[in-house]
Amino acid sequence: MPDSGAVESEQGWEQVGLYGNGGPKWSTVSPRLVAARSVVASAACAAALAALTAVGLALSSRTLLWAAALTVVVWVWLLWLVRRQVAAISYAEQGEELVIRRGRLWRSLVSIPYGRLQLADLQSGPVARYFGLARVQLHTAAPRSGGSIPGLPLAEAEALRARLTERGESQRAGL
Amino acid sequence: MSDEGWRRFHPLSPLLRGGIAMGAVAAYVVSNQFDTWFGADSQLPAGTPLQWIALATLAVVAAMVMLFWLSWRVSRFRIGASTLEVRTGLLFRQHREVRYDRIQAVDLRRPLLARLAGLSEVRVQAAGWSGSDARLAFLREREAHEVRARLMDLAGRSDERPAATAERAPVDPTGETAAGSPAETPVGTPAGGAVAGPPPVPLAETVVRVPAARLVQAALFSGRTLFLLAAVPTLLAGLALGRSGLVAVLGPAVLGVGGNAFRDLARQWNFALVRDGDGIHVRRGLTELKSSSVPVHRLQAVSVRQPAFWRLTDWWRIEVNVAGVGPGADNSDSVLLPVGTRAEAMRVLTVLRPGADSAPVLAGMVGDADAAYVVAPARAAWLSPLVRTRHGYAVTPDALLVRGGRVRRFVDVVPHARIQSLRLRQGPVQRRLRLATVEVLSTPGTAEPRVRHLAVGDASALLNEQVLRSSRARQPVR
Repeated sequence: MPDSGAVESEQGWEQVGLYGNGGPKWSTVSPRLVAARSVVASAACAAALAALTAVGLALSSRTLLWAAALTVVVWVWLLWLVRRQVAAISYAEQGEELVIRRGRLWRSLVSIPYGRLQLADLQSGPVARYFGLARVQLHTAAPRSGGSIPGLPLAEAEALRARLTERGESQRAGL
Repeated sequence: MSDEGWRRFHPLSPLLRGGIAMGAVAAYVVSNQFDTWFGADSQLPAGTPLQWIALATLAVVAAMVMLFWLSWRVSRFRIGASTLEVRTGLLFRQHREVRYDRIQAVDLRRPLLARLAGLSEVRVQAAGWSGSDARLAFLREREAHEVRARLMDLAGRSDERPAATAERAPVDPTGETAAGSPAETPVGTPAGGAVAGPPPVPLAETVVRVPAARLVQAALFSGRTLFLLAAVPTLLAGLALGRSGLVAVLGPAVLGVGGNAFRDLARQWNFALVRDGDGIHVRRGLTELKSSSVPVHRLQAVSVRQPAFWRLTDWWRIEVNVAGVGPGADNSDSVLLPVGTRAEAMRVLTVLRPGADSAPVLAGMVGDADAAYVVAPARAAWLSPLVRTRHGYAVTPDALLVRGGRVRRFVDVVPHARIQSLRLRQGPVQRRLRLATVEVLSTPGTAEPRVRHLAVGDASALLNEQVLRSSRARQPVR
């Protein structure tokens, strides 16, 4: 039954898949998101490392010092993971839908019609703001059906949000 | 404030809305104090004349009547051009406005006392957050029916396409849909006519009536029964042996589970699904009669499921997702068939999707490894050996059908036009096996359709084609 040729493309929809760069034009997020997420991860790891080392030395506990060493390993792994995760985020604006892909190990692809958007938020925490980044958060009538694009440069995020809202208005569908 | 079009509620409304409780409290106090005031051991200061007491009582009653009258004066509603407006409240004023195109359902409620007074409440459920209901309480029976019919009419008309036919139009031109899609019996909707809705059905027709005996039996065929069967004797033994710890733990649990069972029974008592000129209504209730309308064209998804024990009797349950009605407090409103035979389930589905072929749904209910559904490939057996051939989807002209479950079978029907968004997911193991899961996101409710472990090719084909189908079926609001 699934026959990719059966339904002709008529609204500027290009085939999407979990892999590859084929189909529509995929935009990636800012590489500064790597820095922002690394800072957050590093802060947590550094704090844990400092605490473990200090207490471990004070009590001369071998277990705690091993845990500290493990923290370093986790730290390095996190830095590597953040890089990969950020690289895996991409989105494409199609004629009637926004498609967002995320994840490496657990991949996901979500396709949200503009007409279904209830609202699009801009969110930016202190760290993200320092790096000049913002997240565009999309809400539909179903709580689980939204999506978000983190790590967009502020101006770009603002423009995207405006575009989405505008398309949402013009293509709004009844519930 | 312009008084145009504003209507008042029935004068007895405040009394029925909150006054009863107040009156009950007053009566309770009086009856409790009766002896102290008037009895032999009267503690009133000697010589307090009875008249004063009578006068005081009278004053309280007068004040209450005054309050009720004021509250009645300020409460009003208006069926405006594009919104329903309701004003209530004396101290805490409230002005609620509900846009017609956001109305999800219009219910008629008759609590016990209102029933005695011949009054009804019209409750309007709007899409959005819970607690956004607009309540028109109370109106005379006849007026309530008229208001409801009017609102249903406005709700159905404000943004929907002229005739429901468009939604049912064959979407897949290649005819590659599931078995028997050409069963397109147009249900007599005048094409292009500005008048929405089904042709007038002159008489109310009962689609399904659930006998009490079956409700009880269905309630017995459940996990709750198993729990109670185990817990009640234990509890009794605990009581007999004086094990207070056991009683303290089991007692509330048994009461809770038993109470829930009874509450559910009471809610679905006298259940009947009725179709008449202005739509489909659910009538049910033991003490409180409830009659809720189902705006068929606003259903987000229909879920047909079968709890494990009901396989013995081939019973099914049908629930729907309606926007604005979450799976929260009282989701009994979303039940269109609490328990019914297979034939009854099919009848309800026919009413919900007039003209649509029911064979694919039936295949979704009981089918297994059949051609009607695209199912997970053989290699998915690594992840789901038992249910593999049940995980599947089928496409009909009007809806996407998702089935699954072996012990607890289900099939979810999502109209193409109602899909909120689509999602592909793939975990590491699925990746090794070249499988992916497709989630069809609908508004919150019983139906959470997802097709697990499809071949990656099938999964992405489903998503890519469904995007187009949904796009074509969606009706933009002008």
